[in-house]
Amino acid sequence: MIKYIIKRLLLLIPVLFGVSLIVFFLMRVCAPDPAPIVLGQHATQESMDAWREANGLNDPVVVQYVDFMKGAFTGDLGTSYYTKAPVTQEIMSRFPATVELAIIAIILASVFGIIVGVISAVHKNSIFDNGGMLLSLVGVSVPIFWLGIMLIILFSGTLHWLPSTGRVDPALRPDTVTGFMIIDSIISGDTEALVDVLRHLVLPAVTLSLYSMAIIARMTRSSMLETLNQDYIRTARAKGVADGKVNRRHALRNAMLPVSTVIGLQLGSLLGGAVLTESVYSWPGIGNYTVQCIMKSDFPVVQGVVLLIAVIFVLMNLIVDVIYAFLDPRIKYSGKEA
Amino acid sequence: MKKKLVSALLCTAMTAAVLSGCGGKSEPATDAAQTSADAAGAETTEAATAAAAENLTEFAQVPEDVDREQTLTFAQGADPRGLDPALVDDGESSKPIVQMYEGLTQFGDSNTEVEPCLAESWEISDDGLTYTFKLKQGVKFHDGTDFNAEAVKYNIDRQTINKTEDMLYADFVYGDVAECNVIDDYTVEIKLTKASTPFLNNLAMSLGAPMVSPTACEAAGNNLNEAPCGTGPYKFVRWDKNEAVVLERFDDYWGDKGVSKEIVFRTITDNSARVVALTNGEVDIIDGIDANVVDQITAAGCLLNKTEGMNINYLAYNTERITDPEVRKALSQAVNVPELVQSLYRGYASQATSILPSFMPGYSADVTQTEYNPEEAQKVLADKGVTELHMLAYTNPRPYNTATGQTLAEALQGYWSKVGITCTIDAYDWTTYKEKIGTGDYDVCLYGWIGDNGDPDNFLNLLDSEDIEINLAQYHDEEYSQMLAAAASLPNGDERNAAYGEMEQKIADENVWLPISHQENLAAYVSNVQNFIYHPTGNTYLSQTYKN
Repeated sequence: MIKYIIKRLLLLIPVLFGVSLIVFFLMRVCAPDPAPIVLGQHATQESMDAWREANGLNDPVVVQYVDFMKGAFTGDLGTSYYTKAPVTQEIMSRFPATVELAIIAIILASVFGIIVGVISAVHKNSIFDNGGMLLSLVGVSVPIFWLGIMLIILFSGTLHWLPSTGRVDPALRPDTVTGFMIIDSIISGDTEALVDVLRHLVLPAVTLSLYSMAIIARMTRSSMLETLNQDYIRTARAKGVADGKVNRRHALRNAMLPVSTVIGLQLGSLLGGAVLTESVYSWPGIGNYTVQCIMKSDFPVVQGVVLLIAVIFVLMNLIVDVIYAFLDPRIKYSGKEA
Repeated sequence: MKKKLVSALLCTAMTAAVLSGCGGKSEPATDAAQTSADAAGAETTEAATAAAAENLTEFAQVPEDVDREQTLTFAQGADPRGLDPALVDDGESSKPIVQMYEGLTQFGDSNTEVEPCLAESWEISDDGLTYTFKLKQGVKFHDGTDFNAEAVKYNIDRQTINKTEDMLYADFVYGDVAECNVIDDYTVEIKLTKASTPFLNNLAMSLGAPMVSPTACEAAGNNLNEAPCGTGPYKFVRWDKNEAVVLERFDDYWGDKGVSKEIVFRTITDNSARVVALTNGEVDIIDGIDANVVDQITAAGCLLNKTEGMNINYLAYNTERITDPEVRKALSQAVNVPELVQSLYRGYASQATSILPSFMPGYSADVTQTEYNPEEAQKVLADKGVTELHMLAYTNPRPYNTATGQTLAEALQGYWSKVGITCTIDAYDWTTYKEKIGTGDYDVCLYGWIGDNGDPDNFLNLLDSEDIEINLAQYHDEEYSQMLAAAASLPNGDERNAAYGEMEQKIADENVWLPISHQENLAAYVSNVQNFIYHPTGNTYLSQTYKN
C-alpha cells in the first residue's frame, strides 16, 4: 500500500511538469502583454521596457520557464505583477474561503444526492424516480451563473431572507485564526457571527452543490440498481431479510463504491475554485481571484493557482483510490499492479 | 404496460408542471417588471428630479444630533489594487485612499477648482517656476507623527529622485518638479523645470499626490499598499482581500471629524448582485451602475445620483488622411449628435458641446460645434468626390462609452450612408485596437479620454502629442501648440479660461474631432443617506456623509 502511494506521488512530478508547461506557454501566447496593464495609462515606452526587463519578460521563454520551475521547486512561485505580494501569500489568504465553500457544498451534494439516488433506485420508475431524475437533469444542465443570480434576486432581492454576497458581514467578522469562518467564529465564541457566516454560506453552497448533487444522484441510482439486481440481494431477500435492511446493509454499502469515487473527484474540482459561483457571489476564494488575474495578465499568480489545482486534483484522486481499498476489502493495491 | 403509461404520463405532467412553474414564475415577474417599469416611467422623472434636487454642489453642515456610531458601507465592483497612493492607478483603490490621505491642495466639493488643504496658502514666483507652500500646523499622520515640511519633501523626493518603476502617477504629478526644499518646519519650496499651472491641480489628485507618513512608509519597506498611513479623516483598520476594506474615524483629525464611526468599502463584482445588495439593505451606496438597473433601483425606493463625468467620448478624423477641413466639416454635419447620444446612452450621457465637461474651468458655453445639416453634407461630399471611409473601432464598452465602440461605429456608419458615404468598420478588442491605432491606418477612429487632474490642459494637450495613441487625429498645428504652451503657464483665472475657450473653438472650426458625449457618473444609495456627493473625478469623499 505504502509503495503504491509513493508510486502515485512520484507520478505527480510528470503531471505537474506537463501542467506547468501548458499554463506557462499558454499565458505567454494568448494573454495580452502585462506591462501596459500593470503600469497603467501614463506608462511610457521606456518604463514598460524597464519593467519587462526587471520581470524577466525579455528573456527567451525557455529561460523564463526554467527560472519559474527553479523557484517553484523551492516553494517560491514569484510575486504578483499587479500587487507585488508573494504569490503563495496571495493564494493562501484566499484558499480557506474556497475550501470552506467546497466542503459545505460537497456535504450538501452528497447527502441530498445519495438520498435522491437511493429513493429513485428503490422505487424505480415511480413518481419519486422520475421526479428525482428530472431534478438531476435540471441540476446538470442549468447554468450556474444564471442560477446564482436568480437565487440572489429571489432570496435576497425579493424575500430579503438571506444576504446576497460575501462571506460575512464585515462588522461581525471574527478574528482570523484558521481562515475558515465557521471555525473562527466558533473559536471566538461569537454565535451572532456564526449565524451570519452560515447565512452567507447558504446561497453559494446550494448553487455550487447543485451540479455535483445531480451527478451523485445519477451515479447512486445506477449503481444502486445494478447492486439490487445482484444474486446476493436476491438471496438476502429469499432469506427473509427485511426490505429496508437489504437496501441499507447489502445494497447501499456496495453501491457506494463508485459513488465515493465521484464524490472525491467532485470535491477535487470544487476545490479547484468554483469560478462562476465565486464570481456571482463575490466569494473571496481563489476561483474569483484567478479570473481577475487572468484578465490582468498576472502570469505568476495564474501559474501558481493552476499548479495548486493540479496538485489538489491528483491528491484527491489518490485519496479516493486509497479510501477505496478501505471500503472494499476485495481491492488490494500493490506496487506491481499499479 | 399500464405502469409504464402511468409513469410516462406522470413524467409529462411533471415536466409540464415544472415548465409551467417556470412560466408561472416568470409571468408575474414580467408583469411585475412591466408594472415597475411603468411605475418607474412615472417615477423615473420623479426620482430623477428628486435625485437631481439631492445633487449637492457642496457639503452641508452636519446636524448635531446625528448618530456618530454608525457604519457607512460602500460597494464597488473590484477589489482595490493597493492602498498606497503612489503605487496604484485604479478607481477602486482611489475611493478608500481619499478617505485616508490628503494632498497639499484639494478639489472643490463638486468641481475641479483648486482649494487649500494641507497647504494653507502658496505663492508663485513671477516666472511661474517656484511655488512656496505654507503648510497647515498641528496636522498628525495616523501613526502619530507630525506632518511638516520634511514630510512633504520626503513624499516629493519619493516620487522624483527616488522614484521606482511602479510609481504609476509620479511622472504625471511631479514630472515638472526640479527640486523640493525645506525652508522651515512649515514652509516648503518646490521648483519646477517649466511654468505649469496644472501643477496645483496635480497636487489635489487622489493618486500620486497624497502625502504619506514618512515613518510608516520606511517601516513598510516603501510600500504602503497594505499598511496605509496618511492624514485624512479616516484611518485604516483592515483589508480582507476581495471582501472589504474597513476604515475607522481618525479622532485626531485636524478638520471636520468624520461622521460615521466606520466606513467599509465592500467588493461585489457582479453588477446585478451589487444592486440587490443595495436594495436588500446590506450596503448603503453603490457605483458602477448601468442604465438597465436604474428602474430596479428606483423601484426599491433607493436614490440615484447622476453627475457629469470627467471624460469625453469622441471621433477623431485622421488629419493626415483627410487633410481638407471642408470634408471633415461635411462629415460632421452628416451626424445628428444629440439624437445619437440620446438613443445610445438613454439619458446617462450628456451631449458634448465642447471637449471639456461643463464643470471644468476653461469650459465655455459659447463654443459651438458643427451643426447637423445632411443636405449640405451630401452636396459637399459629392463635390469633393468622397465616397468611402475606413473607420477603426473597439468592440468593448469603455467608461466614456458604455454602449461599446462597435455600436457607436455602426450608428455613425448609418448617418454617413445617408449622405452617400460607404464606411467600412474594422473593430477589435481593446488591446488589439490600440495596436492598430499605432499603425495610423485609418481615416476616422473612435476614442475617449478620462481626465486626471481636472485642468483643461489635461484634455486639450491631447491634440498636441507626438504619440499617435494619444493624438489620434494626428493634428500637428504650430499655432495650437503655442496657444497651449502659453495657456499652461497662465495663472488660474478668467484670462486662462478664455485662452482654452479659443483653443476649443479652433479645434471645432477645423473639425479635428467630432465630440460626442460625456458619460455621467452614476451612484445609487439608500434613501436615508445624506450629504453624499459623487465627485466628477469619480471619487466619493465620505467623511461628511451619514445616514439618518
